[in-house]
Amino acid sequence: MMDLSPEQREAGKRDFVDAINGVIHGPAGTVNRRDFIKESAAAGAVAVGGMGAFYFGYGASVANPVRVGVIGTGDEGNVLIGAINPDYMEVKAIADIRPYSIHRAFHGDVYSAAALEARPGMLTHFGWKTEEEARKHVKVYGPWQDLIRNARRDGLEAVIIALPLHLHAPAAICAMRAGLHVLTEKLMGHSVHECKEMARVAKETRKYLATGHQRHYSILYDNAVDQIKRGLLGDLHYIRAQWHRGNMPGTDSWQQPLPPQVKPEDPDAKQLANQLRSWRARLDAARGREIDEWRRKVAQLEAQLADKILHEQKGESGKRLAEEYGYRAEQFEFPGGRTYERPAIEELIRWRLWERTGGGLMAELGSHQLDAASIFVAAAHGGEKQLPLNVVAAGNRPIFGPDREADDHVYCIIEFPAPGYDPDDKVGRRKKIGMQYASINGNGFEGYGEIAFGTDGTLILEREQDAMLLQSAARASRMAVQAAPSLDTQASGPVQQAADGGPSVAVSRGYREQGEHWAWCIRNPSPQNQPRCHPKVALGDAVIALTTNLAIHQKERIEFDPAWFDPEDDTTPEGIAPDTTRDSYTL
Amino acid sequence: MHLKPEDLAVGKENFFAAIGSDAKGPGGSASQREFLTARIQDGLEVGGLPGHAYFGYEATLAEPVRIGVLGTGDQGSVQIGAINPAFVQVKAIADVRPYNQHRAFHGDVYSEAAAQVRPGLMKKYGWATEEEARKNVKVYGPYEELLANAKDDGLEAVIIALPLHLHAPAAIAAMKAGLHVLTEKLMGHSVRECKEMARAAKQFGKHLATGHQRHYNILYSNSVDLIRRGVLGDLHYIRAQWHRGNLPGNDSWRMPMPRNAKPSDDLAGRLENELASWQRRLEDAEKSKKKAEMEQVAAVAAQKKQAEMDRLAAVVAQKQAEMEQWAQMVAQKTAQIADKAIAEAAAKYGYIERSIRDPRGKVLYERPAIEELLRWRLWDRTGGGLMAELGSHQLDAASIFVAAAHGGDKQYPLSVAAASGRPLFPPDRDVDDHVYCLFEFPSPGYDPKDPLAELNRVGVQYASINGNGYGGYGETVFGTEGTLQLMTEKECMLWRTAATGSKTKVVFSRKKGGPVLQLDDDGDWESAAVGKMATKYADRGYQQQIEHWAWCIRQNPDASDPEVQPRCHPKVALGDAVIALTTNKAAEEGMRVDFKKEWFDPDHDALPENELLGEDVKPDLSRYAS
Repeated sequence: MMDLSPEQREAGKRDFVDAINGVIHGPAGTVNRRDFIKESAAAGAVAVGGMGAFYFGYGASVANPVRVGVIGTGDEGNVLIGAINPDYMEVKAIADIRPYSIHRAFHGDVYSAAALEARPGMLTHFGWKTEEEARKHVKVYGPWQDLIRNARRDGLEAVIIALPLHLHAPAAICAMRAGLHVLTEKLMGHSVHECKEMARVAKETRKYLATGHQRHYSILYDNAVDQIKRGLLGDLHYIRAQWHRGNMPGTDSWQQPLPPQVKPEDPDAKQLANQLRSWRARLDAARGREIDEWRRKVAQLEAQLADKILHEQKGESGKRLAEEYGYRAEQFEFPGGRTYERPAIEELIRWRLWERTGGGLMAELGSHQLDAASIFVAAAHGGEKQLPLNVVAAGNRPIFGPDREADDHVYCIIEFPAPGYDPDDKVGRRKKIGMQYASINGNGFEGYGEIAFGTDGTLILEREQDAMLLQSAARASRMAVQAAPSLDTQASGPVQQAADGGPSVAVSRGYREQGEHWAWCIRNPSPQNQPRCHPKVALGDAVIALTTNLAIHQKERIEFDPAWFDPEDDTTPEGIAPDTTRDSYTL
Repeated sequence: MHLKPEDLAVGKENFFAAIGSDAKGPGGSASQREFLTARIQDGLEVGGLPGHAYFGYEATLAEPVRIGVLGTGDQGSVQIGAINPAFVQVKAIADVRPYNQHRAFHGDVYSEAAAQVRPGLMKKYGWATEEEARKNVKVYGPYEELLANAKDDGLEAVIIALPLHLHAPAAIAAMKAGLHVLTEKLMGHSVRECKEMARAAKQFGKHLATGHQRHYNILYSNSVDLIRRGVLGDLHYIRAQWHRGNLPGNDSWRMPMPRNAKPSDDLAGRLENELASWQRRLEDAEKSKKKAEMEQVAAVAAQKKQAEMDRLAAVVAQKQAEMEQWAQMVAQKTAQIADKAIAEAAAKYGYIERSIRDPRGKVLYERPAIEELLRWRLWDRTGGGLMAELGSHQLDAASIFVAAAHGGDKQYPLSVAAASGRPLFPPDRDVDDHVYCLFEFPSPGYDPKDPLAELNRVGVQYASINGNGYGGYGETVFGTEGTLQLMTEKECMLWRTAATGSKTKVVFSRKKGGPVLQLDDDGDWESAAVGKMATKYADRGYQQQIEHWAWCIRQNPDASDPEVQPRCHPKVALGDAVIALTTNKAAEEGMRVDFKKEWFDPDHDALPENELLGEDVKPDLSRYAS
């Protein structure tokens, strides 16, 4: 929505980097960023470990890599495997009930180059030649409960959880009670009471419980926060964030194709089988190096089709396997005799679309960006965490049909206190920072990112990859910004790169650093050493996302109660008190 | 998240190509090119924008409508600038501020841009002096005096550009006096007032138009056409915004006042200092001119070459021009400072002195009556804040777009959730400096009784902020097949959803039975040429708005023919006001509100203020008896 010339755009990126480098000095007493980075580099931190290690203040490696199990190796679990630094962690076991997920855990996702980069698979990542060799190092389980039951025997110390949302709490709590530390994917839990239960069990069992809001480990975001803290934006007064995706019926990344046996009458049922036929033909025709490429693709597709066993009936109960594992078949009925049949396997494979198993756009996408917004607001308060004041929201589904419960458009307005906010004062009451958020499908115009509006400048973060600082004319003339090189530590090969680094290297989204820090905390346990997204932080993010969902359902504005953010307090927005003795929390 | 200049250039080209495309419309109906080609022809005939051909009126009137202008401030002077003398003849003006009377005649010379939009009556009608102009235009202070003399002055209609709280009393009194009305937006200060205005128009048989000028902007009508033809696919989301960089000390809604009007004001003395500085510039120009003239005399005596004589003549001419410009600016600044004369009278005109206090009674801010008048947009009693001034236009646009998705059938919003705050400005105002809101409109197929069809809603997100102008102002329309962006009412861009770097072409799809937007490496230069030529004279629509209103007055003098009505007639304007005013209440209280159909019906007594504020009032024309 703005007219930037290439020069202005470049200047914006340059200003962002200059600002990081400390060319623009902050108020007295703040750290000069460039000196900090230089000193860190001189101390050898970067040469030995990654950028994350010295940047986020943990050690360059641990004595013995932490022995972990990965629970859930689907789309996201395999991204986490790909982000593992073997200096910090060793994968000893995996668990997933889907053959397709197990296949990808070993072989990666070869459907596209981008997929393969994000999900290389353990063979490539850890340098094993065959699945057979890999299986000597890694035990393979179906249900997550089996992995936890055998954890001691397998020598596990910790687990990474990337299961559907409704299983985060049971799996994390059972794992901690079995003596394992936990890194769970976001959202922390499916409800606020679950999150509080998780936090309480972490405290009780004295285990590290980290949640995967990876922006906490993004250098790009850390620098953005630093710039706000140093006042480079002036007073922060508004934040706009968005995640626009082009998903449409038939091409929805959350609605993966099902094996053809599941819904033979469905027009899309043949999709995977047809693709397999076509790829096999390509394999037959392939020559030279192409043979291996097509062989791998065919193998992955065969594994995807092998998910059909989850739809098969077992023994005398007549239950299908997915039902045995706790997924539910349901028939949705609508006026006029319309129905939608959802077998249990569909709840599993497309769990993001259903209320019992997922949390919709707010949980999957919005929570990250609201997390970023609260970090920015905290920075405007000198780093002091601020709770949001209230939320209004709306959700609807103009694009998709009865094949889901999740909305395809979600909008919300959240107000945070600005410095000087005072609810008891007529003037102070108006001092608020507003945030507007939209997550939509059907049109991916402008993609995703966050814009922080200050009185002296605008900070734009795009796709967790690009940052731009645009300063108002007045501000620019007040501060002589000199040209400066980007981070001079770049040459030593850090994991992350400076804000305007060359286009060939992608900026780390923080997954790797998140895992490294968690593992380092496990090896160096002390009250000071805490993952950046520890239970209280993750609870806060979950409260915002889940309360927004509640505001959508209840169709009214909700004032945030500070007690919701306190793990020890029994108050929750949904009105259910935490209870760590639930049946699902014992194996 | 932000677009490169290349993207914008491609988007503009795509827009021109789409509107100029010869692809058939839905069901194989006529293409937009046929329509636009005819408009290009019309444009050649009138030598400008053929508004009449777009909006269905005649190119000229036999006899211009004789009008009065009530309120000739910033916006009233813009209305004067938009006048086509073939349609209206200004016979009288009214404004209590000396500054506004000055600008009505001389225009606004503070900047070139200002002079363009506010040229003043003298330039508009070709009067050489203010004296000559005053022979043609009667000048009144309070608007009531103009209305009292309307019959004697031969007026038929008035344009109202007074502060918001006076729209209803002035419009109703005018219609009662037999005058047609074009009032600035927002229609009224409350929904109650708007309904009273609508009822008065009906009762007295007068045209009452409201100045939401986007109804007369051909860029908007072409955009609406694209949506109606299905070029965007299904419309599912609209985002609009108005971001302005105003900050304390530099706020376009809080202009400096004459020192004597309020010596304690933080901006006091600014006008006087500027005047002194400009007077020096004027004297300097005079001196330079005199000096050059003396050099001319000396050069003649010394029999200098012709080249030197020409140079000196050019210097004299340039200094003369500078002198005239500075003299005009000094005159305008002097008039602005002359507003101090009404510092006392402001109370007599109904403006109120007030102290803003904290809960303990300590005075935070003193506001003399004249400040309520000069800075009326900042106060709840006289203005309506960001939603009334800016948001109402853009939500009006959003409702037009949503209507287009329903084949042109007007749609009302279902709900609004809003919030507002004032993080930037001190208590020198009532209004907030940030407003955010979230509307839901029905999509085609929406059905509140069906749990699935009930989810078929179009979301509209809106923000109006101060303190940072990044992103400017405009509206973005998201469809399943295209993205349409309208910026500053002047530029339109179109892309195939997220493909902002790609050229497109509109072709007729047999499968869809209508036009589709396709990526095309070569674009469609031929159609783009047509589209570009057809929108060459596109402007914000103020002129066409007045022309059409004047034409309706001539064509349908008792306003009885429902086919001959201004596009923003009372029912449409009421709808825009309901949206803006309900949002204000929702933002203030911090709540979500479901709109009621009856609020939009002028003849129904239901009012949002009754339900949201616990008031118990009804529209009542007898309030305006005196």
